[in-house]
Parts: sequence; structure tokens; C-alpha cells
Amino acid sequence: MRALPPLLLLGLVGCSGVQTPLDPLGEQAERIAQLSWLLMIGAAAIFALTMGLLALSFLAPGWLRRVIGSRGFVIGGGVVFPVVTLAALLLHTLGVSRALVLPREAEPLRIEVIARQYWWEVRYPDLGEGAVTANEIRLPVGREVELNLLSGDVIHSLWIPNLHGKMDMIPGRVNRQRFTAERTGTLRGQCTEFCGLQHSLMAFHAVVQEPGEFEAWIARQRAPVPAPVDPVAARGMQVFGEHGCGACHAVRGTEWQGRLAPDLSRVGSRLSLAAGALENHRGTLAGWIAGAQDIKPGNSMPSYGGSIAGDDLLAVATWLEGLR
Amino acid sequence: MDTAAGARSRTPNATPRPPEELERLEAAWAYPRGIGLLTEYNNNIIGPLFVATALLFFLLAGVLALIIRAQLAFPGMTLVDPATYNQVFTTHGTVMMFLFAVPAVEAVAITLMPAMLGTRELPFPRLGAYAYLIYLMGGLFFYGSIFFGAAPDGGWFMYPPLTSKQYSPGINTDMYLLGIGFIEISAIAGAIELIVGILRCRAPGMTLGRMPIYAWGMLVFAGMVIFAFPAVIIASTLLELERAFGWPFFLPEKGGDPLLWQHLFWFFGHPEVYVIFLPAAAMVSMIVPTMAGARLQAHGLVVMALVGTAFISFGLWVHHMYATGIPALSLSFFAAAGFAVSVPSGLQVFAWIATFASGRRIQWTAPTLFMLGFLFIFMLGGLTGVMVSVTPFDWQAHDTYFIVAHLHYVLIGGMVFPLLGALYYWAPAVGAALSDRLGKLSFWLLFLGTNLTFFPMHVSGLMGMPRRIYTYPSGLGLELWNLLSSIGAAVFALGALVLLVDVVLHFRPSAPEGQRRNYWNAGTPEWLENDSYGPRSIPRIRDRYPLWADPHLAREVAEGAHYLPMAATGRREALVTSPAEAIPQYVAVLPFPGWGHVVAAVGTCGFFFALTGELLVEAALFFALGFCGVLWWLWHGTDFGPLEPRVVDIGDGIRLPTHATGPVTHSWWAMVCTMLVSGTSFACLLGSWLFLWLVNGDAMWPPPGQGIPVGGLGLAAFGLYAGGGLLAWAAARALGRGPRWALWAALGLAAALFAAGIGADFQALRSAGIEPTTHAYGAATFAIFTWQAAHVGITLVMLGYTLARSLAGRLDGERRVTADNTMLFALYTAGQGITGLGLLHLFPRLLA
Amino acid sequence: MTAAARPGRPVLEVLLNALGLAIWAAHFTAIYATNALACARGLANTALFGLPFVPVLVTAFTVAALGGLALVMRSALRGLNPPLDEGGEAEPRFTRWFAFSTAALASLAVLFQGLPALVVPPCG
Repeated sequence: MRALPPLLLLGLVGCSGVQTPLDPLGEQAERIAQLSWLLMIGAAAIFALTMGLLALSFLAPGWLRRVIGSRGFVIGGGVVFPVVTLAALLLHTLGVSRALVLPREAEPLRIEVIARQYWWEVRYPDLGEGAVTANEIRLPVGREVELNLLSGDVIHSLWIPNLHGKMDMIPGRVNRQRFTAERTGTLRGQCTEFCGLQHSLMAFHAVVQEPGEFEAWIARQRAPVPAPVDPVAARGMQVFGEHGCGACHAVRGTEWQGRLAPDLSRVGSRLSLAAGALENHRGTLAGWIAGAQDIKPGNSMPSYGGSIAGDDLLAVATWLEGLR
Repeated sequence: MDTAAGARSRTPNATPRPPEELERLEAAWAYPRGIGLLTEYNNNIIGPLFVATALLFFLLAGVLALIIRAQLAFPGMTLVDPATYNQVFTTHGTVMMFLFAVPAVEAVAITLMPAMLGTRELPFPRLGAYAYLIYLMGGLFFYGSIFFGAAPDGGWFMYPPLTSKQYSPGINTDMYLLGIGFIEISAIAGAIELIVGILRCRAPGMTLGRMPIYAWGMLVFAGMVIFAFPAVIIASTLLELERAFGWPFFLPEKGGDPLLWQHLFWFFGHPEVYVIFLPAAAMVSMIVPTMAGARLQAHGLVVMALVGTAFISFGLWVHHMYATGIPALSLSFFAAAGFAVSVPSGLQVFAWIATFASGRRIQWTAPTLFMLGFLFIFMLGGLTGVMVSVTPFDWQAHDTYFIVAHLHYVLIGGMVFPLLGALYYWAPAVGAALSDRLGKLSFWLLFLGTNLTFFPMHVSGLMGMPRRIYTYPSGLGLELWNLLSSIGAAVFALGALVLLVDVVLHFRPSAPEGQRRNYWNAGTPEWLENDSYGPRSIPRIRDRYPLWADPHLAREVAEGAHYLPMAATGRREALVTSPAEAIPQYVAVLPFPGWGHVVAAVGTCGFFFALTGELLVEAALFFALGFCGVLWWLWHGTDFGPLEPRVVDIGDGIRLPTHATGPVTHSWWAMVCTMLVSGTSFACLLGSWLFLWLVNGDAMWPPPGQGIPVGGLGLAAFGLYAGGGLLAWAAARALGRGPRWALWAALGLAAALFAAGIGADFQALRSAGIEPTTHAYGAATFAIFTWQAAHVGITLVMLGYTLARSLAGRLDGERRVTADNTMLFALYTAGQGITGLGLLHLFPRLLA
Repeated sequence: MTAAARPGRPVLEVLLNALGLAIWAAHFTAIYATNALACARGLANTALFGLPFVPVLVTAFTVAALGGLALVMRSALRGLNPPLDEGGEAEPRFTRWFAFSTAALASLAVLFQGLPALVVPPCG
């Protein structure tokens, strides 16, 4: 009985989230959401029924208590009823499972996601050299995608609840997940397998776009970064090089091709910094470079607050912010 | 079977009893004085201490939960830093599962089981005391680690490679692997004692059909511990071998697989839930009939439900691995098993409802409230359990707060509420009753607290909140639900505080004057008069609820009119009966209290503590101490041989021996249980080897540079193991018939054959270039070999011990339990060695 | 009641009453191992008697297990198991009922677990 009001409330608040299975954006999540509602309503009904019977076992008149107290009641309610209900549910579940694993398109768009403590590397191997980004997955609407999920260190798990369930990323294995986004939107996803100190700050955005927008975005990702015109930005680029940032980070069109940390070629256009830990603008960029270990202790990025002067810090942030 | 005793019949023994009889009984069971009290094993002392310790860990782990809820009350809180938070939630889960839930149900059983079975004591009381001591010392050591930042921080499930040396170089992980690993020994020791106790020490006439349902629950519990716990012990051992010596079981770059850990861990971890729940359900099946004043409805079905759930729960472990990429059809097998296992649980719920309905006068007491609260909370947890066994739903719910809600509904509903109900219900059976008023107050606070804390978590989970995060952003709609949960946690804490106050204020180890013995007017034997020696006489049982069926029984038993009212040999004794129908078989003589098991416990704990700190010299010293403790314990406390009088009349003209040998003895049964534990562990190692073979593919199994073990040496090892086993068997058979030097020669030769066998086994591996650190093939192969080597080592010790007993004149044709046990273990070791050789030598050759 | 200890046989009979659940365990192991092997070794699309490999084998195991369970239930129902008797008070009803009901639960589980192979693709 108590279960019902919160469930209704859930219906009100749950249908507009950027990180919830109850606001599906694609067929797979839609099927699971329907199944979820069936399960929740069914569970609430059975719960109400059982608690009602429990109350009757105390309060009912004598003849009814004798019925409830009989062996036949135990067999009917405790054996026959669950067996029938569960058999029906099993058949339905198997149907949904089948629909979710049967492949649709022969050649889905492949996207490779490599999880590392505590960020996501995202590559589009079918779309040519340089189609790489980090902590953000862009998807064309209406096209089936196949995520190829890998790990660079420990076990992580990728979850974009509005599109599909979780899939673990296990060292030494490649897991695959297929889904189709059917509406555009900006979603949030998060690591759901405990992966160490900063497991909490390992999120990303999933952006579903019109195909044209998506292609333009890919083209921009692949293009080399132009040399900065603004003198502050130019100074920033110089400082970036002097402090060896390129050993870990890559910027297309430069000599810096590190793969230990996020590709920064178009970092200015991303929706968040440090895998969802910060908003993305010049101030947070500078703050992150200066105090990465204070903001997200234990991640691989050192704090440069002590070694890069304030002006230079801002210059680097200015340059990076301009990489759109 | 349920028919009442009917017409009054003659009691087994005539009354009044001679006055010196009680004096002798009291003298045999008198507690040692002063420091010697530490050596006492009596369940009336160890049991309540065990329960109190388990409740202490409940409170300690609860404090950690409050830290978690405080940190998550609002988004972006920084009450504790991430490193501490990870230690806090890991320790919370680990302590709740390993140091509270399992020990608590075992503790209640140690306390109540002898009285419930109508026996004086369980058959291996010092093993029970040993289990308690290592749990107490190990548990406090483990919990203490959090004050030094040394507590484990990889989650209670400890998934590698996060917990491998590379990503967790600190001592924290070892604290878990060694600290928790050896506390499992305590659970297994307790389980063996309970199995043998329940099957062999029931009062005469207490057939399996009349056995109280709680004994069924604990029998199922103990059986599950024996088959489930070895998996986690093996998993912990393999991970520790990888961390300490670089044997790559879980490292993919060397042929290992992180999923091997998950299979092993959850093969333990899922049954673990039922290991906790089934005894609690059995408590409910005891309390509900008493409070309803009616027999348990559908008793037979409920027994079936307990046993059936136990089996099927071993087919659910992949429920925790739905997102690991296992093939869809395999997942569906587990989903279907999940559906099947919920049938027996639902059945029990309906049996309890029916029992309430058939009750004539329901007592409205604190235990009744806890039962109703249990039904409410557990039903919700069970229903969400069906939901999460539905694969597609679980892909969304997995590792979110929906699961946190589900598991707490199941464990708090399914275990904590029954346990607290049991505390109020059985306190007057052990000592002073608790306050019903405070109990009801505590119930309402705990009930509201549980629902307020955990119901909103269903919502926060479906709103996208993952587990094991120390903070969450605002704007995802999580704020309200988390705040509600945190408020609920405070209410729950208040309830726990009221409970604590009640226990401190009112519980006393002995009943006050005037407290009615059968406090709730229950029907089962634990409500008979009970003293340090248990019941005055062992009751003759003719009904499932003997106290309801025969109103004179309690008086008769207290007067000594039933079986074995005396200390026949002047020592502590227990009546051993047959497993199915409880027909008296012999009178077992129990040891007096002694220091052996205490020293062994100190040695065991010291050994593991020192190992955790990598203090190898200290570890060796403690090992030696523990080893000596065990020998001392065995030498003086077992295999007494025949005592006078050889035969005793226990009543009803039943004349029983005070000494027994062979398969009828409780010692033989315990040895068989031990072999099952070893066998299950060994099966886990074989399974790991096969799993890694499957993952690597034939081309990499064996990998280049390593080969299949050398066949000729394998054949030699086969012959040597078989010969050693046969000789040990022949030696035990011929005991007391041939000259003593022949026995000594046979024992010596058997030892030599076993030693040579393990040598040939080793050489077969080394000659083929097999090496444990370069590839998982070598690691898995050497894991099997090392397990066998350890068993050969123990066999050698046992052969030597048998020889020493013979030299000391403590072994002959009648006094032969030592030799029989050695024979059984030697046969097991030979069989295990031969099985291992079969896998390592034959299997790859068959594939090739 | 006699004090005679007759070990061995009664223990076996107690264990035989759990035969139904043992059959469940064997069936579960067989179908899980079949599918694991098929998917790990790429045998999923192999044909057996012209039919897909995994569903045929799983169904065969299921039919065999259900047959065995039917025998257990029949023998329990007809009382073919001699009453458990150690020379004392026999309880044929309890033990037979136990054997029957555990076998019935096992049948349900076996049936549930055999079903997916007919619906869900093996290695999806």
C-alpha cells in the first residue's frame, strides 16, 4: 500500500531526467522501460494483496480465518498462484530478451569506448583517422550504433540509461552493445562499476544529433587544429608545450600525440571537464590545470598550480577554450 | 505424526532419582573458576557471548552506515574524503556480511540448538569455542584497521584487477583477503559442529519429521556453508597468491581473467544471501506458531522450501554478472532459476499467514511485531528480487541505488527483523526477559527507519544514481530522495539505541526469580528447564511440539524421569542418536574444558595477523604455537578409549555403550564433513583451471614454452598416492590384530609413499617446463598441485600423530578413533591427488 | 526401540530423498556448460541432426531430467521407497512427501530453465 504513492510520484518526476531509464530515447530503453513499469505495477499489486491477506489473517471473521488458515490456502496462494504468474512473466521476459539481442542493421556505426581511471576515450574507427574525443559520445539519430567497450586498466561499466542498460568494460575482453537513439537530446552517463578512488567523478555526456550535425561534428574533430591568432592563446599553446602536457594529451595538427589522457583537439566544445566533474569554461579549465589533485584527488593529472604562473595558466586555458 | 502422546505412559526412568546423581552431574558440568573460565566451552556461556559479539559488530558497522548517509545527505558534501569513504562503505558491507550476519545466525544456533534438540551439548563444543575465539579476535583486528586507514577499499566484492598489486599496492586488500579469509574458518567450523549435532544429537524419538523447523533451517545453513564458503576462500587465496607471488590468475595480459574472480566470488556470494536468510526464516517459523498459539501450517512444505531454496540458490550466481557480457541464453538460465527460487519463499510467506489465521489467541508482543515487520519488509525485498532477476530490468537497475534498496530490504527484512524478534523471543529461554515496552518502541523506530531510509533509494536508483559514489551532482533530481534516506538512517539509529538500552538494562544471563520457564507457552524443547548440564534428563520426544502435546513432559524431564539423568562415566556426556529417527546409539564422552583450543585460536589469529603485516618470522612462530595448540587439544581431549562403565542403562531398558568406533561415531561424521569442505575447495580449483582453459583456447593451453605434465611421472605419482592410501587403510583395518611393529611399519611406509608421490607430482610439472608466474596455465596448474601438497603435508602429520599415539599406548583395536580418522583423510588425499592428476595429465591429452 | 546401530543404509535413504534436487543440479550444470562451451568455441551455429546445436542439446537434457524427476515423484507417490526404518518409528509419510515435493520443485526449475533455449539466441 505504501508503495503506491511514491510510485506515482516517481512517474511525475522520473520522466524528464537526462540520466534515467524511465525517459527512454530509443527502442531498447523503451522496451526495458515498459517491462519495468509492468514489473513495478505487478509487484505493487502482489504486495498489496499479500499484506491484505496478512491483515485478514488477524482481523477477518472466523470462517474466513479458517479458509486462510487451511493447507489448501497455502498451496493455492503459495504454490499455484506464483507458479502461474512467474511462468507468464518468464515467457514475456524471454521475448524482451530476444528482441534486445537480435541484430538489426548489418553494418551499424561502430564506436569504440575505452575506459580508464577515471575518464572515457571515444573513437569512431569507421569514420577515418582522427575521429576521436573524450568524455563525450556523439550519436546520429536513427542510426543503429554498436559500442565496442574496452578497458585500459580496471573494470568499469558504461551506462547511458536513456538508451540502454549497462555493459561492463573488462580488461582483456571486448563487450559489445547495440542500440538506436530515436530522438535527439543531451544525455548523461556514468561509470557504474566501482573502479577506484574517483569512481564517483567518472561521468560523460551522450549527445544525440541530427545526422547532418553529427557529420559536421565528425569533420571538425578530424580537422587539424589551426595555429592560434590571438597572442594570449599563442602564449598558452607555448606554455602547454613547455610543461610537457603533450606527453599525455594529444592535439591534432601538432606534435603532441599522447594517449594517456583525454584528446584535447576540440576540448573547448565539450559539455564538461574532467569526466563530468566540472563545467567547461576558461575559469574551470584554469582551475583544473592548477588544482586537479584538489578537485579530483587520485586522478592521473598533476596539479600545476605551483609550477605555472597565474598569467600563463590563464593563457593555456584561453587557448584550450578556443579549441572548438 | 502430529498426534499427541495420547494416554500417559510410563516414563523412561523411575522417580525420585537418587540425590547423589544430580551432584555427580553438576560436578561434571561445573564451570572452571578464575582464569580457567576462559577454557570453558559450554554453550550456555559461549552462545550468549557469541550473540553479543555479533550484535556489537552490527552496531559498529551501523555507525559506518551513518557516516555514509551523512556524506550523501546533500550533493557535494565533503564530510569524509574519497579514500576514507571507500574504506567506510567497504568495511560496512564486509563487516555486516562476514562479521555480523553469518556469525549472528550461527551464534543463535550455538546458543539454542542443544536445548532445542534436547541434548546436553553439541558434539564438538571446543570446536565451537575455537570458532568463537578466532571470530572475536579476528573481527576486532579487522574492524580496528579502519582507524589506521588500513581497511580494505575495493568494495566487499573485491573485484580484480582493481584489487591487484598494481592498482591496490597497499595493505588494505591483504587485510580483507587474509583477515576475512580466516574468519571463514570460524563459519565452517561452526557449520560442521551444527551438522553433526543436528543429525546425531537429537533427543530420542525426535525424528526428522518431528525436528523443530529451526533445526532444519540450521541444517540447511550448515550444508550451504560447507558448499559455498570454500569458493570465497579459494578466490581469496588465488588473489593473495597473485598479489604476493605474481601467479597471474586474474591478469588478462598473462592469460588470466578478471571474470574468474566474479564467478568464484558470486558462487559463494549469492548462496550467502540464503545462508543468512534461511536460518532467519526458520526462526520466524518458530516464533509465529508460538505467538499464534498454533502449529506451523504446511510444515512439510516449509521444510521442502528451506531445502529447495538452498539447492537452487547455487544456480543464481550470475545474477550479479548480468552486465559482464555473458551470452544471452546463459543469462536466461539464471533468470529462470531466479523465478524458480522465489516460489519456495512465497510459499513460506503464505504458510506464516495461514499459521496466524489458524491461531486461536494471538499474543501481541514485541516478537509478534517484529514478525509482522519482517513480512512487510521482506515481501518488498522479495518482489524487487524477482524484478532484478529479470535480465533486461537488471541491466538498468544493476549497481544503482535500486539494488542498494533491494538488498537492504532483503537483508534487514529477511534477517535483522527476525533476529531481533528472536532476541526478544528467546531471551527468557537463556536468561532474563527483555522489556516488551521498549521492544515495541524499538520496533516502530526500526520499522519506520528502514522504510524511510531504503524506500526512497528505489527512486534514486531509477533516477540514475549509481552505487559506491561518495558524492553526486545536484540537478539530477536526487536531492530529495537522498535527504529522506539520511533522515531515515537517523531514525533507524535511534531504534537501535533503544534496543541497546533495553539489552543493557534488562538482559541478565540467568532468569530472575519468578520468571515463568515456558515464557510464551511455546511447544518446543528449548523451553524445558535448562542448566549448565542442559536438561536434567534427555526428553523422549513423541511430537513436533512436545510441550503442547504432553503437559507433563516438562516436569518429568526436570525430575530426571527421562533418558540419561546421570553422568554415567562421571564426565560430561552427550547422547548420540541415529540421523533419521533419533534412535539412541551410544553415550559420547565429551572432553573437560582445556587450554588447547584457546592456544590454537591465539596461534591461528597471530599467524594471519602477522602474515597480513608481512612479518614472516612472527607468522612462523604463531603457526608453530597454533599447531602445538591443536596437537595438545587432540592429544588430551579426544579418543579417550573405553571408560567405565562400558555399558549404561539410559532408561526404558535401553543399554548403550559409552564407547563407539567406526562409521557410527560423531567423529567419523565430522571427518566426512571436513572432506566435503576440502572436496568443494578442490572442485573450485579444478573449475578455475577449466574456466581459464575455456577463456584461453586450446592453442594457449599450455602456452608456448610450457607443456603437458610428463606422463610417466604422473603415472608414478598415481601409483604412489594409491599405495599410500591403501597402506593407511590396511593399517587401520589390521589395528589391534597384528603386532605393533607392523602397524608402525605400515604407517611409516604410507608416509614415505605419500611424500614420494607429491615429489613425482612436482617433478612431472617441472620437467614439462610448467612455471606458475608467467601464464595462467602454470598458475592454475600449480594451484591444484599446492592444494594437494598441503593435503599430503597434513596426511604426513596425521600419520605421525597416529604413530605417536601407538607408541604412547593410546591406540589399540578398541581405542582407534585416531587411526580411523587418519585412514579417512589419507584415502581422501589419495583420491584427490588422483583426480588432480586426471585433469592435469589426461584432459589435455584427450583434447590433443 | 532397540539400541542397535545400523549405519550406512539409512543415511543413503535420507540422501536419496534429495535426489530430485540433485537432478536439478546436474541439469543446470549440463545446460550452462553446453552454452558456455558453444559460445566460447564458436559452436553456436553448428547443426546437430540438422537442427541448431544448443537448443537441441538443452532440450534433450531437459527432457531427460524431467523423465528422471517423474520417476522420483512416481516412486515417492507409490511408496516404492520402503519406509525409512532404523528399527524404530518409521515416518514414511514425511520422507515420501519430502522426496515428492522437492522433486516437484526441481521439475519446475528444470522446466523454467529449459524454456529459454527455445526462445533466446544462444550467444547474443
